[in-house]
Amino acid sequence: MTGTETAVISEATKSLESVARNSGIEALDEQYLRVNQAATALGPDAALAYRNLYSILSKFVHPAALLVNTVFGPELSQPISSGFFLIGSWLINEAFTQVEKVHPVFLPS
Amino acid sequence: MRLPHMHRTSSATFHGHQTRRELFGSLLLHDFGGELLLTFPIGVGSIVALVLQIVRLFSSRSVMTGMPLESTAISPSGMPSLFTKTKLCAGRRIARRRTFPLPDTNPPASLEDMKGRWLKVTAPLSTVLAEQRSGATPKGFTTHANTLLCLASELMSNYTELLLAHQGKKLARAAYATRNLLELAIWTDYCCRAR
Repeated sequence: MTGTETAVISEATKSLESVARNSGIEALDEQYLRVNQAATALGPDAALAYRNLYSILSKFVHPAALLVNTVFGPELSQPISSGFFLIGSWLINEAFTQVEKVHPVFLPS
Repeated sequence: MRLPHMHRTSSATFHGHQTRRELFGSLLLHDFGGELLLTFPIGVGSIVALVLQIVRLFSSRSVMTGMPLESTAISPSGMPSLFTKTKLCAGRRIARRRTFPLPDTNPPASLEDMKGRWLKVTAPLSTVLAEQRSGATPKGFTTHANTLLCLASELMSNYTELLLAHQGKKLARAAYATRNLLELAIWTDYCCRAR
């Protein structure tokens, strides 16, 4: 790498760090909070639900899930899909309910 | 919570299950022969299980992505087991681990109904952000509102995706959208509590 390239990268890094500091992020190398950690912070029920659901859903999302789907076949995929739909519906309703709970914070006093 | 038990029944039995409780109460875990179902009775507390894995018999040596060796024989021999990409273990144990409480809830809302709820949920947040432009609102306050607004919008977007995938019988897409909703729901709850 030439001296000019190094200087450009150094300048860009400084600029990026400045933007991060202004956004409240002290160190760019700091690890971000993972979803499972957030779930654990919410309590054991949320942590368990997240762990179980995530691993099961991933089986159907990952390309290897093709093997799984092959086993079930179309006539059985539909009930499973219905199950996912119900779960998704429950999740979004729960999430919206949580947002509604903090509405008073945003309403004019 | 009662432990699950396995029995053989016809796959047609499952299709007779229409309610949510029954849907989750009976987990279709098919043997390759297409007849093995895992039923999971649920009690008053609506404990449900989602063990949508492949079921094999212990007596069978071949599995989808691996092959249990004699050195890792599983007992009791002849009992049905659950096989996942990473685990091959006794059905009872894994099923118990993979249970979680799901409160009773209404049937899934239509897209229009959900859109209505989304608009209602996001209205106060949008107001806060609109007021920010006039400089009347503190920055941290609007950041929180903006975060929740983005999460709510992503939730709505993925719900739409899930609905379309479900209607189009695209199982992998439905699972993907549901998994997104799962993560978004966790973050929404987290951000609501931790300002």
